[in-house]
Amino acid sequence: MIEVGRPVLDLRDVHRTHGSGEAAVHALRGVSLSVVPGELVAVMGPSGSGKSTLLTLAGGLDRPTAGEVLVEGESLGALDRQELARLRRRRIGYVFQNLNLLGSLTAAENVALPLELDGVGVRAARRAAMVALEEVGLTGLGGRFPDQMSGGQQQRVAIARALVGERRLVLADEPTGALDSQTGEAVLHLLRRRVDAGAAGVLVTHEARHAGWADRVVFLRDGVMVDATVPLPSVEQLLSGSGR
Amino acid sequence: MSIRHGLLALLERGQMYGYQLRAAFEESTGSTWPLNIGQVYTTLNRLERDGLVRPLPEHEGGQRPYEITDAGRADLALWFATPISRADRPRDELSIKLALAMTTPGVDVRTVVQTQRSATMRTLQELTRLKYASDKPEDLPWRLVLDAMVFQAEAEIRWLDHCETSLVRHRPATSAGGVARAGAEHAHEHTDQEIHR
Amino acid sequence: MSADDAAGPTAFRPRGRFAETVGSWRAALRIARREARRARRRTALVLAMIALPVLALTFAAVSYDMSELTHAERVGQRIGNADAELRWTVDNPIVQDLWGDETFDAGGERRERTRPARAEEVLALLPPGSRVASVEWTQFEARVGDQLESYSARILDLTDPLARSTVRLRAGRVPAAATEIAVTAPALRGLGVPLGDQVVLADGSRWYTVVGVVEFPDELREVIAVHPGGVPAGELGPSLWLADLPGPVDAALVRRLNARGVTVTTRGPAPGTTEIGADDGLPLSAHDAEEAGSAVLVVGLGLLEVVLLVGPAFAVGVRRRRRDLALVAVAGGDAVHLRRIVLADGVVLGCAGAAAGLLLGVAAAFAAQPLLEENVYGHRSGGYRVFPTALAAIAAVAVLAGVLAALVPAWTAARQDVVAGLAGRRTVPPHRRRWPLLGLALTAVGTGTAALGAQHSSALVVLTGIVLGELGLVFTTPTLVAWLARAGPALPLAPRIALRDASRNRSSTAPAVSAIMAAVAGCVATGVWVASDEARARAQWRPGIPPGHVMLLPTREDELPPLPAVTERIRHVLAADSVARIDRPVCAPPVRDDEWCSVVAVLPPHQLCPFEPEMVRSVEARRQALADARCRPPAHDPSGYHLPVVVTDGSALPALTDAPPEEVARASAVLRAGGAVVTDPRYLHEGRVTVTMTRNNGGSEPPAVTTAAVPGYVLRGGLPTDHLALSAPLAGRLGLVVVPEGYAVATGTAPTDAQQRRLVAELRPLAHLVAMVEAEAPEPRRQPLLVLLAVAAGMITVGAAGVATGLAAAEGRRDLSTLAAVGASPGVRRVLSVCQAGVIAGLGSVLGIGAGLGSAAVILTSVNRQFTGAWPVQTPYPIMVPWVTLGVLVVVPLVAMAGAGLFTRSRLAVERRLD
Repeated sequence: MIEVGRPVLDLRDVHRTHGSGEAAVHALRGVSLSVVPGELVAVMGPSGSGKSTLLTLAGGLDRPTAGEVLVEGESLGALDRQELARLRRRRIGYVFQNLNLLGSLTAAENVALPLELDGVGVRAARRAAMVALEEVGLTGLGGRFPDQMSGGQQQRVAIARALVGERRLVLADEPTGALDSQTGEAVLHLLRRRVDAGAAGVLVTHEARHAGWADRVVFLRDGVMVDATVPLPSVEQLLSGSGR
Repeated sequence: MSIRHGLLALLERGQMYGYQLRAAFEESTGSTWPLNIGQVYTTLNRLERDGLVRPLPEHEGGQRPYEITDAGRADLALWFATPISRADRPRDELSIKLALAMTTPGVDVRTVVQTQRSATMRTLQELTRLKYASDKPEDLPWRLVLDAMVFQAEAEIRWLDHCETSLVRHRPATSAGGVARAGAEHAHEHTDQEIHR
Repeated sequence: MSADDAAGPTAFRPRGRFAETVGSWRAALRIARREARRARRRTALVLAMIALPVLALTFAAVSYDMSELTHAERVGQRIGNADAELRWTVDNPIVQDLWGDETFDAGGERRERTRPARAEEVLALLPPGSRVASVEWTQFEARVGDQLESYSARILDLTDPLARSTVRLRAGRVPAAATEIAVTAPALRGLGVPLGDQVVLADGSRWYTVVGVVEFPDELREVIAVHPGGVPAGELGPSLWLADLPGPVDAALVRRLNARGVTVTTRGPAPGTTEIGADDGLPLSAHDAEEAGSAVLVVGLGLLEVVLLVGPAFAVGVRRRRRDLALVAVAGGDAVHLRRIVLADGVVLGCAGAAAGLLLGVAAAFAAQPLLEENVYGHRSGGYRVFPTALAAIAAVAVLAGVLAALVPAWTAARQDVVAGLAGRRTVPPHRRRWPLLGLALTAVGTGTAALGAQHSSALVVLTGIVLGELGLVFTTPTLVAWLARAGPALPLAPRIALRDASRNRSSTAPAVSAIMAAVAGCVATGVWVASDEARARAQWRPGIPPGHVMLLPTREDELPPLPAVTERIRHVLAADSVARIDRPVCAPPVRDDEWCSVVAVLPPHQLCPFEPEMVRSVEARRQALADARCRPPAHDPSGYHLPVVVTDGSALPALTDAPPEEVARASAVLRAGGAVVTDPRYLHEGRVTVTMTRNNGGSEPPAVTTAAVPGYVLRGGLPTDHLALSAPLAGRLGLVVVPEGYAVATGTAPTDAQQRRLVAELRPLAHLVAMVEAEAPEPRRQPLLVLLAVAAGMITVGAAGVATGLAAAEGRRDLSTLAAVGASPGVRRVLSVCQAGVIAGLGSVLGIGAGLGSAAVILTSVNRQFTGAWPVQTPYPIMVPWVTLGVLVVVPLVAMAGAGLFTRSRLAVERRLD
């Protein structure tokens, strides 16, 4: 079921410049990155290093000035805005630091949102949302509005939404930023579990502790990837001591 | 932390013999602190010498259990009560290394920093991975030990990030690549001057 | 600044309440100013909504004030450089008021002047060295093309410097000979000739050359200046004289002139005169009070509308600054301070809007003054001035509007949860049951009041009721909006979000909905009233002569020209079917001054209505009376020209009644036999009609009645108006003689205005006649007004929906980012905007149409109830649905939605550079 080896997300020598001439700001300068199923890649770097730009490019919310972005083998450059939106609905899940949920929709409706946008029937979407909420441990809270939930609960709803349906790529931008350490940990734990179940994930963070949850960490500085850790050995290898 | 106080803490739970102690020790600290049986017996001998533990009659299996004495309990209580002071720790080799790297010609400090950061990051990932793998409630002490190491590693990475930023500021340059190049040029200049001299 | 510095070290000592208030207001106003500068678009929106009405009102007030002349200005325009204007109409002593507007005879018998005064006679009354110039106002009838046009004219010698000073020469030169005239610019356009060309009098007797274009400052419309001698002098000659005196006008001179019957008008009050019948402020009549009250209520409604339109902007401002306000609270601001900060927004924007509106209004009024003078007022204004009292009042109302609009947001701001505000969390306003209850109560009270007012036909009470009812509905809208949001789960995504957003942002949605509702309700109610009024007018319309037929009536008591000549000339202009001379009966001579005669057909006794008006008070009697054919009123009084009794041999019947030829033939036979023709069959009894002639006199003697029962005929198939046609012999038998009334022309199609005027011009050589045509049934001519009203309400709808949608969009930017990230296609934002606009405009329109129809129904029903006791039966006001208005108002929300869709950028905030 999971095609191991074929990257879900593939950035190839991506450049992104805002503005032009003197005022040009080079947000990304030749970044290449590929993420395979079951892999969580953390992107670290100080503010202004291009982390968020990388994420917006990966999600088709922005287009690179040069280079190519592929999601499940499909180049985003060839898609128009409608098709990009459809791609986000069907294959990509976003989780932000906050501002994640629509205040006018209940938790279940928020989770069902991408499905509904995709034309799935209201009932079917609601059912899928209930299942997704159960998976993130929010059984029975589907009828609540975001105002009536804690920050951690809201973020879990966001993760449920990011992975509802058959989506395989999760893009998370500082998903724990607004949460306390324990709750943040729980959210990352959840994210990790979903990735281990076969999704591919990109986690933008500036906290090393959170990047620790990733299989691979890349560092961005001024739009350039400065160094990256290699993939980790498995837990068994670690426990047997050979990883050290 | 010493093995000595670790064993005392384990014996506080009840009498144990050598192998039991080793297993319990590793269980509560994870495999982060592997212990061989020889170390256990050496330590037990010292503790017995100091009157902190007392050997009990051998089992039929030939294993001799130990139990903690009152003096041992007092020592243990004192240990728990005393904070570990920064000075007690071994000198930080990394900071000394970085300081030296900055003053040694021909060494790119950034590379040193990045190498170190990658390594620490990797440690951090490993620790997190271990923590993630142990989600049973009874693993809590073990997870807290891991957390301590996670936070230490994180602190180190933050310090490295800080060093890197300071380095960028220290040598005015527009980009990371520029820093390395400027450093190299500076080194060249230096050599040229030496040659002229 | 320096005061603050000086206060420096002592600034921390506890201050008095006054200083505290001043300080906190100063801070609040500063915050409001900065906020206004920061949220530019919102500020511009609020400013526009406040400034526009201010501009309109200022324009009206300033223009009115400038056009309203003082006595001195009015006289100055009339007399130019002259010292006085003398009016000599009587020969007996008079007493005049300050301005020569009022005179009355000072004892002695009134002796009208019988011959024109000559200049020497006037000069003889004045001190030596005086000069006079005459001015005579008259009419000038000219032939323009094939029509006749009448202009007012002034006969004066413009070569005389004194007379010359009352006009401004715009082009050409002044007339110097009897064959020359000067005209005003509008008159030149009306005459349709270029300067230097010739103009002919209506009767073709004289030709004039237009030598100049002049302007009379006191009359900018069509005026012709004729040289004295250019037209035959009127019977009395010039009655106005401009006088230039060697010295000032003194009391002795005025007294001397008054003694000879001359009225004196000078720039200032005439010396030695007193105010006559000075209106020392008559007490305000009940009518005036009612009118003033209605005006206040209308202004109040306008104010309410502005407040409702502006309110959402402040509500959004508060929501945006939730955190700032929470921080103020943390820093020690209490509820009063928070309220003050939001109210300061209203003060600042109200002041700015008022200032902008006043400035623009004054500028516009100044700029438009020449145009208004020429096209509206018809005279030059007294000068540039601004009416400060009115402007102050307008500005005050504008600031009041700002403050009122900020009032509710201020209240909610002061009550917000500080912790939630700090966390940036939004708290949904709790339901308050007392507001909707208050609203329902107010609506009920308002409806009752309006019904009561309608029953007693008091506009003030009706308006009060409407205002109360509307306020009530305004109070209930938030609850209604919240209610509607409950329908959410059943709806598709976009409308669901739109409805819930509307509910969550009630503080800005509800006023917008209310504003639309108020405008639409007013428009619909007016529409129903107008449609009903017109339908009633149509139902009551009874033409006196067949529509389209022309009556030609003489304007002078000359002998009427013979029919064939007239017919021939009429046929030049119109395709006339028949032309008949109309005669009417009058008392046979000798006739005293106070005698007049009337002829009527008499109902046979068995046809008389058995009910007296007093009897039909009871419901039962009314029912019987209504069922009794005899009690049907013969016909409503015809509208327009109607000749109830004619004397004819039958030839006038086609033109007067439009009856079919065979009916006319039979009627003519009866008339030739000396009978009478009626249109109401009830008058005919056994083939005869009884006609009575009453010769009335001033009441000194009992009237003389002559009765004759003659063969009668009921003319059928013609106009259902009550007619009585007598044969000439019958008229003679009754002691009457026949005088000509004019001509009746039967036409196939109604003649146009131009045809009527050409007809008059064509017939002028024969007689002075006027043409009268009974129009077709009254057209719903107020339809344009309804459309205009609907468009105005529509604009308010679109505006309010646009504002609220725009604000909702600004508010929901985060949500839109989330939507984009989740994969909403670019169209979804557009659909969302469309839905938001739809919720607001649709809800407002539906409520407004309901409220409008409801209130109109209540008022009309109440008015009709007033008729229930009336006899004869009154036509009730039908409840008409103004479909045009409703059509416009149903389309408007769709327009608002389309506009929202069109003007919403579909690109989402987080989507960059995707095109």
